[in-house]
Amino acid sequence: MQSASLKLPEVQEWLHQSEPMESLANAILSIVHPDLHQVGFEANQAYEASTESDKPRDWPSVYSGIDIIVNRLTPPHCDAGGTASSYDLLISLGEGHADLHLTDLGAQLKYWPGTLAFLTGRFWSMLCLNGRGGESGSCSLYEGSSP
Amino acid sequence: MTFIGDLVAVEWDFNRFSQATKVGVKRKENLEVFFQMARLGKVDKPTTIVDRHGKLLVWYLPNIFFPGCMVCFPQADSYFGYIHGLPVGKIQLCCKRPEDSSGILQLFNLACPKFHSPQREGKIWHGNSNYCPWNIYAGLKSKFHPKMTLIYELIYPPGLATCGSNCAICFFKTT
Repeated sequence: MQSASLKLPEVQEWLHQSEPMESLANAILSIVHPDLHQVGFEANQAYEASTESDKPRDWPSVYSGIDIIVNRLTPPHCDAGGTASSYDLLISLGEGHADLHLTDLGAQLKYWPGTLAFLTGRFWSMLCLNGRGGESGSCSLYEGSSP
Repeated sequence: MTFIGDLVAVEWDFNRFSQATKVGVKRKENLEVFFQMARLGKVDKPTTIVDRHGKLLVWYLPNIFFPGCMVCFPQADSYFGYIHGLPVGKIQLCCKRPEDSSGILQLFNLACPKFHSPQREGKIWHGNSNYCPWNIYAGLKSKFHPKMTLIYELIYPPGLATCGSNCAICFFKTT
């Protein structure tokens, strides 16, 4: 099921503008985890084949969901729809410094702009996007329901 | 499985952990007693975290995207504008395998199973994605552990790299 916001013109524009980054992430995923990339790619194809709309679906990622968080501190949480065999992809955006806490591992990952992290959705994580040094954001890509 | 950067292994089994944390199961407050939670502390360099059986848990790649590229993504077309002057179809990823003693670059052709053509465009990196990320990982390449073996190095075809390093992205495995 598509998100209702996907039809908004500004969302379509954002998806269009972020396509280069998504293509990059797709290419990296195809080597990091070829099976996951293949499954996502085939799922996209199957979805497009099952829809009757004449308008092509402007979805740039092999992941089925994208969330954006900007300048926020998230509570510890995990991907409720995550499975042991799939990995969520987090990409740090913006210019500020941030931290990614993996509670279950006791790890504090530096989340500099341009940082990319694949992690299994079964871990509890917490994002600290406090905007030190500029605005900071995070793009989360995942399969299935929203984490 | 492809590993990259420092390799950190926790002592527990991820499948058991998944069972204990799956949806619908109340999360145990004393989970760390059962799984001897690691205290990995601050991590700021490329790191792979695996469980006791080598199952990949976390793949952390700091600064993999060139910051200038990230900041300029909304204006990606202008940032990479000079590429758009090149003939369509000339831009291809290359794959150089270090074990190839001949040193001949192997072109990733469009049929390469590891890459799929964008559906609407028909060609890799064609159209709006008509550039390659040659800057990413170029700066980190020399920092990898000596026990890492380069398995893939994606680069630009000779003659097309005009911004210094032509190394795009490197993938390593442990030896």
